[in-house]
Amino acid sequence: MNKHQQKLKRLLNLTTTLLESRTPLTAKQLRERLADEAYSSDKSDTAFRRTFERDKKDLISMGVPIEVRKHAYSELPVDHYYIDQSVYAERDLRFTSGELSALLLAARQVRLPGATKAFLKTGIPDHQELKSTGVAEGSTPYEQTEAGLVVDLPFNDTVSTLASCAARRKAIRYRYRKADGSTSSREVEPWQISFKEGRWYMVGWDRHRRHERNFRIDRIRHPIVEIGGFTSPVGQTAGIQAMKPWEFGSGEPVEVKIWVDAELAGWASQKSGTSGCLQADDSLILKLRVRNRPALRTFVLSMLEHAKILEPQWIKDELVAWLEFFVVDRPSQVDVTEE
Amino acid sequence: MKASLNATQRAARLLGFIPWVAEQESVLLDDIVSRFDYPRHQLIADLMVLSSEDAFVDDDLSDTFTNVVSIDWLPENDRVSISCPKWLSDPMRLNGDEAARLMAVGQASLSVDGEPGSQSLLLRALTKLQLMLNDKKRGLNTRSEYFEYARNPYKRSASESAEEDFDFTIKISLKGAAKTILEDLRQAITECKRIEIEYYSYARDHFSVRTIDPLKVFYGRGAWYCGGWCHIANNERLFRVDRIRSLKVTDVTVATDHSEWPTQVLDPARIFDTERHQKSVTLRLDREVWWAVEQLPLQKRRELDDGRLEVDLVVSELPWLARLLLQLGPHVGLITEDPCMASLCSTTAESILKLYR
Repeated sequence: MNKHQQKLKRLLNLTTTLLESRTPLTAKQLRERLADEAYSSDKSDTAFRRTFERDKKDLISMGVPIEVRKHAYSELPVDHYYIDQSVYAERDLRFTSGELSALLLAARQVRLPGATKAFLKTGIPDHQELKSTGVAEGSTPYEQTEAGLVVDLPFNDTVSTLASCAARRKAIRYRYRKADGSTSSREVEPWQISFKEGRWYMVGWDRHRRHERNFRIDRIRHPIVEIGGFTSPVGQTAGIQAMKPWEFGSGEPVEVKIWVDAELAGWASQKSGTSGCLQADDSLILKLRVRNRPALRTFVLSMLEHAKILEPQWIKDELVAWLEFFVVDRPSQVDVTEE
Repeated sequence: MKASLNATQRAARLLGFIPWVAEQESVLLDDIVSRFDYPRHQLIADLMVLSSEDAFVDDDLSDTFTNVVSIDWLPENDRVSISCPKWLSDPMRLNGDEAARLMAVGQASLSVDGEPGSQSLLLRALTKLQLMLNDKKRGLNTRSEYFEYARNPYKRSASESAEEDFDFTIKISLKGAAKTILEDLRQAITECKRIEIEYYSYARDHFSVRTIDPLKVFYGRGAWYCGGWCHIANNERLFRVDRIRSLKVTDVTVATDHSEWPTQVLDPARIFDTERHQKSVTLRLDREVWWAVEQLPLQKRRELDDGRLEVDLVVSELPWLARLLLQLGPHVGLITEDPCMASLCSTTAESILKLYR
């Protein structure tokens, strides 16, 4: 048996010992029970502890639900380890073969980090079902092929943590970075996680601001701390609203009228999410409700000379002033190469 | 198929396939190899270590695993059978993270399209995943019980019960391109037809008519793309679907064998690789506009002592850079020796200002 197989056997023995035991076990008790070379009394306590901690971490990364309980036999509480059989195995919510096939078909279309690992736990559909999904004989069912891949979706631990908190209705505290780079502490009851236009968002009730808010998840900073449960929603709406960048913010929105030429009319309509009013020359007039003027400016300038603000005059003046900044002598904006 | 796995990866696969093998009389070794992505030589070596026969020879009471799990592998017919206690023969439970990831996969797939038949099965699987994510007590048997139990409390009306109204914790929307254009593209690919498109190049701020043999449509980096052979460029190209102003499917049937092609236009992860980035520029950004480069392909990124961020950015076309500089205004500095680039902003700003005069 080589050292990799020794480790394999040790991980399996640790799992079954913790599953089989009726009482939580300490690291010392596990060392005594597992006659593994790495756990033997020939090794120093430090060496054993290092190996044990690594093994524990590996098992947790595999999704083995090891629980840690503290029991005080003496003055110092000692960690006791335990795997609850009812938590380890799925008794009630088993996927049918058909449901598994549907999930596998989805997994072959969508690439998402860490998703395929879950299929090691769910099992696989029976042969007949697998055949109907078009999985080639002798290939891994969840393996993606270049031809079959349709969606590449980002996903990370923050999205996962927030989804779990929303589903379990746990209020959370975290620091949030605004677009201007400043950060502030937020206490939020998360309702739903959503992916739109290339980004993950979370909608929930902001306890400090006493209002429903949308948050960009890439701006939520760790640690995300659970601060207790919530039982019912406070807000008026459910789900992430399809908000455009210029709609974010507080206060009364301003209605802004924008003209877009015929060339970019279709594109602008799609990006703004409004059909607008088509003119005789195929140009388009859009009416947007704006809270965030810098975001509106970004949208209008993205169309270069294909678009202009018509009303109100003061927002139009703001944009003109912004543009005039570039045409006057302004050595500071372009730093001609310095040493 | 992986060439070799480490001990942790193999342990995860072993605990995964035990319930699957245990519920059948025996399975072919090669089925475990392919279905669980377990390299054959490693599986054979591991079965030899873990099989009951070896365990009996060892007669080691501390070897809990082989004492409770009996693995029989018969090399003559290459079949494996396993018997184990009930607590190891049920599939492992998905934790919240795993359920969330699978739910995102399923939701993304629903958002793309899907056959009506498989959608219903997928919705049922997603409902179970929602329950796993909720981490509440299990024990629900019927489909209606699942939906009733997992019903989102924020739903406006308790009487709504249609599956499509069911509110999941994770929602995915892959919109962002005209549905008709996407449908026409898919149809052209299925029928191997050449297309003509009127395309807006955002980078160059320029419209052109292209003749394309489309090969694949996919979603990545927040947009739908079409990869194919462009007869104008006489090369493979990627096109953003939301920038196709009009599309005509022609009667010309195109060759379906694209095996000679470089395939980089077909992988969503390589979107930025395939764009023609010819210039590299250095920008200095005030803190309030760091967000602007969050999703851009940066070559270098340095935080300066004065609180600004200096980035080296690859640029395909000057109008694209002009647009970025105009949007960020006084909060960005362009470092360049090129007089053409130095005057880029003022000339572009001038042409926009003409609209207002």
